[in-house]
Amino acid sequence: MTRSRSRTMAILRKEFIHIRRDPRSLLIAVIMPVALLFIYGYGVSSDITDIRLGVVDWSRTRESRELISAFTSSGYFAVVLRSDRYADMERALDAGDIRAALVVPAAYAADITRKGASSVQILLDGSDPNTATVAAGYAEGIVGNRSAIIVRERTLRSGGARRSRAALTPEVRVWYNEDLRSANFIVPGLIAVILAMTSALLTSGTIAGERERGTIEQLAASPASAREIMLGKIAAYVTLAFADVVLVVLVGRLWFGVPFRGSPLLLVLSSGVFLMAALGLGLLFSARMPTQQTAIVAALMTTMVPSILLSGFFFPISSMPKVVQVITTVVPARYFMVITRGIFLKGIGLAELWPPILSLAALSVVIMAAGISSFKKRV
Amino acid sequence: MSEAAILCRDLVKRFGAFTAVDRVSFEVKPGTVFGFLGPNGSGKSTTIRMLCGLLLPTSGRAAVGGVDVARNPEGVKRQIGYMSQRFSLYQDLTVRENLEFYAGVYRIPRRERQARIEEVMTRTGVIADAGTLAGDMSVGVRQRLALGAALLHRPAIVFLDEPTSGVDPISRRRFWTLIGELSAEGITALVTTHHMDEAQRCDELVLMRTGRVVARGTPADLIVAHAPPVILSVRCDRPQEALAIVQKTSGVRRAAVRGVRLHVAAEDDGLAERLDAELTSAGHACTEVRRIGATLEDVFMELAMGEAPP
Repeated sequence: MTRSRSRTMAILRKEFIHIRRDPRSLLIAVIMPVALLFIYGYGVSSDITDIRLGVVDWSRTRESRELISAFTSSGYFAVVLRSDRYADMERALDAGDIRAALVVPAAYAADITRKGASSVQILLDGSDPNTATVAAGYAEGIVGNRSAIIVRERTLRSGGARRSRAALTPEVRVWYNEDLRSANFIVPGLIAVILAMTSALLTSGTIAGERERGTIEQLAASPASAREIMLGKIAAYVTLAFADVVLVVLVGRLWFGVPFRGSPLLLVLSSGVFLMAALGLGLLFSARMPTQQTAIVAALMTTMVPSILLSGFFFPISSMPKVVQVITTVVPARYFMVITRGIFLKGIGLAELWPPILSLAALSVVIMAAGISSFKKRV
Repeated sequence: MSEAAILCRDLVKRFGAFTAVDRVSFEVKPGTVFGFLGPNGSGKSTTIRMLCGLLLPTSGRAAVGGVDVARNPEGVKRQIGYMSQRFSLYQDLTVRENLEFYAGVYRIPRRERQARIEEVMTRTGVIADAGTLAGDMSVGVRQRLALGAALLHRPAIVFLDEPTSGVDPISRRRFWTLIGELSAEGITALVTTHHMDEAQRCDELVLMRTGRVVARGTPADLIVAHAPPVILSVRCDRPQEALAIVQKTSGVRRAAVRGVRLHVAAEDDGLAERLDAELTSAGHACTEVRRIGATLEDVFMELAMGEAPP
């Protein structure tokens, strides 16, 4: 018993020495789990709050203001846009500036006083069915509460004699993804995840692998420049990744029946921009990391994981803690996610999508430049 | 006199506090086979890598084909062929695919490519293996493929870093026949080796030790200048046990067992009788003590194992 335990202890001690001396094992053994804990702990929260709400108040009465303040004081909604024009709401939903809109009709207060009942319209962006479903539930709840208060006040005024029917009816309308089908939401987003994953896996090992196998030596002794070598590798992987884009679009369209409403050309172009970032990261790690294995792990951690968890793929960015939200601004997939969903589900084009495309392009250029320059030919 | 194909002047490479190459100077005449000898870690590969533009010298000057290796490493790379110590072609590519890859890297015109690849494969004798994965071939064939890849772009100068290590004698001979042919065509070859029979085939040699050149010249020159004065071949029974006695005898520089004989490097001619006497008195039946000619191996042992250079 003691003998076997001392042996176990010896092995344990030996393993600790290995870990202490090898920064790679430290990366895998400590940094990775911690990073995952943080990402899951903060990013993965299904509580949806501060849903960006647009408000059209055609009633402009005490009653309508009470309803709107019921939305804001709930904490679930944050009014970010007020307008008198319905068209403004449409545009804001298109651009993704708001996730939901509340439309209060002109006759709202009058109808409640006179007929004892009215209805309000709630528009939801269904391209993110998670948020849309939750938002619809919240909105119905808030309207229902309001309705109950109105009924109670009226009952109190009338001396509590008659029981009353509901005062307010929410008319919920979901846009873009009318059935709130999650496939419609997942598939366009999946393009970003798949591209990030494949390019990370494919490129990250390439330089480190050459170094490990010794083939870099022959290449370095040839007149091929570092830039040529990098670009050659990138070109190969870009081709492969574009095949992935086509594959995902076809399967999404034909198998899952996901609508494709926008421009295929824009999708191809923006995929190209996104790929530059994903491949650039893979190459960066491949050139900097000592072995193929660490390069792959590092690339997966920085491309695949954030593109699932920090991109708005599953979890709306607006519900994340502020710090995490700031981190997402350097996650290329975050912008690409908006672009693919916009193209697939909303059918919007450059006019609406130029801001995320511009952000993505800026990020891609920086990452790619870092990737290319990190490979030095001298060995 | 034509310009040297390779010229080194006081070449130094330091890695931190460690000096891997210490003021190395030599020159290589065009079209010759130049041998690089020295124990492992003596700085041979580091020197070659500086000459190929893979490593920047810490100080000193080197020119390959008239191009300065520090100022224009890429220019050097264009005109040399390089075969590294470790097989550095792609094991998951076939012979032909590897050659096609390097034909592309060296920008060999497309219409010449196939002919050039056929030529190289025929010449190095790998044509039968054209479709074989490099990883599936024997070390000998692999090395010939590597030489082929280094020759594709018809360089005037080739650097071969231990091209025959781990290769069987027949393949080694074949490899050296190839090197001889290259030399006959006017190609300069700088070759590192641990095999003395190979060193013997070089036009000139440099012997390195702890980063320095300790001897240079033709094989014959080296033997004259650096071989121990007397080499004795001693035949006796129980040579392993006899070795200890021989090593303790004064006037013996070095001794080693070679089969049933002892190979002894000695200070003077008078040692033969002393050895005979010592061995006989120790109970060894000494049947023969013969003086033999020194070889490069004796020179190598003398220079590589002797007193450290000043």
